[in-house]
Amino acid sequence: MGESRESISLFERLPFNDKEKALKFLIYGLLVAIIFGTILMISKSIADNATTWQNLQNQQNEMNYKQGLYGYNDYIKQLEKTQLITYWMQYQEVIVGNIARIGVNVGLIFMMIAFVCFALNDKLDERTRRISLILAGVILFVVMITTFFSNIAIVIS
Amino acid sequence: MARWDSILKKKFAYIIIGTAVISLILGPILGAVLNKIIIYERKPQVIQEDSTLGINKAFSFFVELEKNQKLIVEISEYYINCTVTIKILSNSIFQSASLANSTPGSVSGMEFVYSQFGWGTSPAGGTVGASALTLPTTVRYAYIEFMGSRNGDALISWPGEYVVIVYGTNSGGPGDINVYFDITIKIDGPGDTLSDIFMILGVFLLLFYFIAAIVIILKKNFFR
Repeated sequence: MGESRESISLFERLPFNDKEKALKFLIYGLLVAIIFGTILMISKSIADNATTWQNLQNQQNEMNYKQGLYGYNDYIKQLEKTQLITYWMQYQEVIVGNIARIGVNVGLIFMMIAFVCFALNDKLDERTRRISLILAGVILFVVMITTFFSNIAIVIS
Repeated sequence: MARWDSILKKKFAYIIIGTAVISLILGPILGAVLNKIIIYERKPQVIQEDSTLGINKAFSFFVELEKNQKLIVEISEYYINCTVTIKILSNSIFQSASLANSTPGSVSGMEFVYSQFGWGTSPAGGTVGASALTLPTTVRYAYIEFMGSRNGDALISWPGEYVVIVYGTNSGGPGDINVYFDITIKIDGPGDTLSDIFMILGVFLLLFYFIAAIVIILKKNFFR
């Protein structure tokens, strides 16, 4: 009984006629999407540059050996450790990337709800409501496309 | 919920983030400091010429190695007229040789590798395997690594009890019986393990706090 009351109240609490709360949804959604999007990009950058980092570490390792800071077997151990960390740097993109994707989608859903609420708010003028509906549709389209198709990407270079 | 809200309080945030940052800083420092532990160092170490006649007069140092633990001996011979030989024996062989006071030259040493550092050589090219090393005849300075056995230049871990022995001669006059050499004995410390633990702790705390904070903020603002 408690559960059904909770689910109804969740829907009822959506800010269909509350411009201030809808704006709050929009800002928080934007913030969440930006934070998780940034995490996604950082994670991708770490993975992309893992080999460069590995080359740097291997050069440092060889120089440390040549300076006599440690022996051959420590040098080999360091090589293996560097290789392991490189693999982790590449693999973390899978874990962090998937979590970040969920975060971005949650943020976008918040933004979409905010725009839908603007569109349904009869206190706003017709033009604003129409633009809000279009924006909600665009966000929904992006969420759907990125959720169901993984091979679609926009490359800006 | 109220209990979870306390995570966002300033004091709690300082404690969590502070601990995480301290862990991330301490990890590499402890890793570097405790990577190798010096268990014996003497410059110069003195033995007598009769160390070549009986193992009981030779320099000996007992070491116990655990699985994957490495023994490192840095030995150098720069002193006038002195020649020394270093071997690493298993404790059982050393004990039986000690009971009979065998000559150290007649006891077979275990396999180790030593490195000769230089900018012109590759790491593999500068490493040599041996079971005994005479200084300064072969090298004046040696960085010896030992784990029990070896395959080529790579060490194989045989945990157990070992004894480092050094014996030598002085080719000076009849009165010059002292044999000098420099020696440092080190073993692998807990540095690597501690570094990994602190780094993982630091990253975990930061991730935990970040995720918890986002969930609480969202819950507080939209799902209540």
